[in-house]
Amino acid sequence: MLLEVKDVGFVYQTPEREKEALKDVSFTIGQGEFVSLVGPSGCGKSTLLAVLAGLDRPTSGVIRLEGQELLSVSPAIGYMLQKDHLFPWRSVRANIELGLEIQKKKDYAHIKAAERLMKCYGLWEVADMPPGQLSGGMRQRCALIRTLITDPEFLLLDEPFSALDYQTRKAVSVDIRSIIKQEKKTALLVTHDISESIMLSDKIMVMSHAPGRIIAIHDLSVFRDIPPMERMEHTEYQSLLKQIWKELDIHYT
Amino acid sequence: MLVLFIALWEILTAQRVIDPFIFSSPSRVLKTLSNLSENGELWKHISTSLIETVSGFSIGTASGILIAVILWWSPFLSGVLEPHLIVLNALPKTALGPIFIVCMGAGTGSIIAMTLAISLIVTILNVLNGFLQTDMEKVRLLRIFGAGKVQIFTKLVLPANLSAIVNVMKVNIGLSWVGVITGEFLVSKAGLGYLIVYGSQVFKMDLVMASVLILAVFALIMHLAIVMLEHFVRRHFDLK
Repeated sequence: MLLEVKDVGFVYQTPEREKEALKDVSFTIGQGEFVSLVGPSGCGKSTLLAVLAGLDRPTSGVIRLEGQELLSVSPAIGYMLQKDHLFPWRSVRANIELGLEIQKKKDYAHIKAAERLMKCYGLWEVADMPPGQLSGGMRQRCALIRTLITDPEFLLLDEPFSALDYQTRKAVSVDIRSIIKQEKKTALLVTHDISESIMLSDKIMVMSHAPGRIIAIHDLSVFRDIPPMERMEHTEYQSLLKQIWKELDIHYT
Repeated sequence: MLVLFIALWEILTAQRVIDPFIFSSPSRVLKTLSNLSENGELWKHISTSLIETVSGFSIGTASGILIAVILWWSPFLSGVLEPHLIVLNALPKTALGPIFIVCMGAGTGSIIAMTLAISLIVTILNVLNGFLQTDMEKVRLLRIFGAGKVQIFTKLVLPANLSAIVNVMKVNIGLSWVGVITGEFLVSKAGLGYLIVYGSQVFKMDLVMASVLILAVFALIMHLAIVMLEHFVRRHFDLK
């Protein structure tokens, strides 16, 4: 087991009142798993990711990464935010090397590793260009490589495809999953899109309305050997989609 | 447009449609400049104002940016000092002139102090505002990589605000000239501000117009230097 989250709670302190964002959140994620977290808007998904990244301390409970309690930001955890946040004053290559510079890991081996990833994932030709000239998909790949190059064991993906149009989003999400699997990383993806979570994941966790709790965990071993884009044609797909939708308990008035 | 204006000015004064004694004329301005140049006075006055402006601009911009960095670094100091800075910014700075003269004497020191009074607070407030408006999600990204405050500043806040800093420098060039000319009105015995005051007191409007013309030329040259710096910064940092 790579990550263990046990009875984690988080309470926001605002000047007016306290707001409970997470309550008794417990789950585990194994080495190499790609797990999705779905839940209604405002249920605390991004809060949970910030807590897992070590940016915020949980107000209760414990988080263990490879058996060690997580108390602050750890180089073993990589975080991909909703936007790519590439710096326009840096080239693609310099953007990718940003984390290495901060963590003082910019040595020959890591520079070569960055070059390998850029060559592997179609960024080599644009390595010395500013990111403004990249397509949406290329920008996301650049952001992922920037995260991967610092060698994190565990990746947190906070709706990284939400800024992309539908077709690009499908292609890029499958692309990103494939890179994560090839690099043998473990990932937790936060998404609003149930269909996307079924396409990409080994496991789906469903969160309740705020304060967020894990109310269901779906093991997708039945889809294990099916490529993401073909999962929609599987007989289980529709029933799983309906079940998760029901669990989300979203009502429109 | 400028050529047309100068031609029109010359024709109207030659035809006495407007009074050349009050409004001077391009030919009289040129003659005045030539006389000043011949007796060596021209460069003395230009260099005096130029040295004061460049000194005031450099000290005002550098110390303004430095103070903005310190205030960005310390939210406590920023919280304590910002209300005072806002009050100082609203104060008409020429009111401080007599205080500078009493404290620093009637010389270059007072003129540079006047320049600083006019440009420093604006620099601090504008640069600090730019620093504080840095995208917090990008700050979050750097924190996830384990960046401390120094790295957040050098990798993100400073490069993200280079464009804003160049804009502040553009404004400061104008403000520094205002400070120097105001200071020279009050205390100096040399400089373009002195020439303007002297010319108006003895009713030599040719001298006043010639000084204003030199002032405009040098303000333009310094502005163009900052525009070139801006092009350099944009080219090298790909700022949008």
